[in-house]
Amino acid sequence: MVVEETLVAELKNKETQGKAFEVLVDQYKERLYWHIRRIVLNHDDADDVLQNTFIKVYRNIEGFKANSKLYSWMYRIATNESLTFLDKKSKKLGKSTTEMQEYLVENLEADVYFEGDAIQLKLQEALATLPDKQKLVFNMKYFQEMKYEEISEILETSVGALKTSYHLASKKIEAYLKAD
Amino acid sequence: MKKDSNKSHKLPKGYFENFNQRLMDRIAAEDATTASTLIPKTDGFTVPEGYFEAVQPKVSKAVATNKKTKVIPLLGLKNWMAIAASIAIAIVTYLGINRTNTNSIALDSLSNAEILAYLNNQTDVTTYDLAELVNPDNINTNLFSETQLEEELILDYFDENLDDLDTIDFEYEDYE
Repeated sequence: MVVEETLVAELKNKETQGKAFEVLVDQYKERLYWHIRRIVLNHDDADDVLQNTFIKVYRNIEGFKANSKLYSWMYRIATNESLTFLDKKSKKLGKSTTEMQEYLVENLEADVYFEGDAIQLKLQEALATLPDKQKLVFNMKYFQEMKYEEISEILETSVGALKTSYHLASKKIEAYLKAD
Repeated sequence: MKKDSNKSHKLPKGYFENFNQRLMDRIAAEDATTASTLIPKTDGFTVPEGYFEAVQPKVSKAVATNKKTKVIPLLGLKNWMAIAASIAIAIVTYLGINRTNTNSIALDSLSNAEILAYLNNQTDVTTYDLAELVNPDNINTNLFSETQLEEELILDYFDENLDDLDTIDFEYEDYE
């Protein structure tokens, strides 16, 4: 893995930019994909948002001042892109945020790239009932196994608040899964 | 061993000193147990075979295409904004003249803001109604070149009338 400082310097240098960007994409594509996929749920949408995320990274790397880690910065862009994408999609379909979440889960049953069983589908239904922030924190902690410190830098939220969000999200999901 | 001063119950040494820590550990352990039994470990999402190998070329192509895409500069939009605003002003002026004829209220005594506020309150007047009142011959096309719009007005217009600000390329300086 290329050291972050070196990669950033290469990305800002016109001569090394192309090659460095390839390294960057290879290094982060899977992690960012799964992060995006768990927000937008559909594979084709996740693919679109992933490409948009990398395009934004490429176009804005000049302005990256290393106040945060490159990794956190990219996650932040991916999160914003995913939420903006869903927002646009719901407006296009004339659905409210809640209706949109239900619609996404309903579509999972027919999705060839979702092989979840009944419990996994119910988990998605439970996640759809959560506020955006709690859902993000739960997915990042439970499925992506990120540390609270990492999530804190990405979502710009204190570790304490994240722990509370995670605890609340877990309790709500458990309650949903226990219910008939 | 510590003894309760009133009753003779005994406590292990340091019991209260590490109580908080033990409580938090227990909550964490409880969370982990419930989670491990109820919430599935995986979420069932898959990707097409070979998808991640294809990401790199696809992204490079998208970046290259994006570089070639013509960016519509914000300043360029001023022209159609000026046209739209000029038409609006012409309509307002025309209506104002008509009203002056019938109500003997001097148009000069009303500010544009007052006229616009009045029209905004006439909720049953549609743009089609307004369009029908306008004779295209009466539109002063000189307005197109003479009217200078404040940038703030243009931005307010976008804010109120444009659902998707991303359609205008602001060079994305909002990150970092």
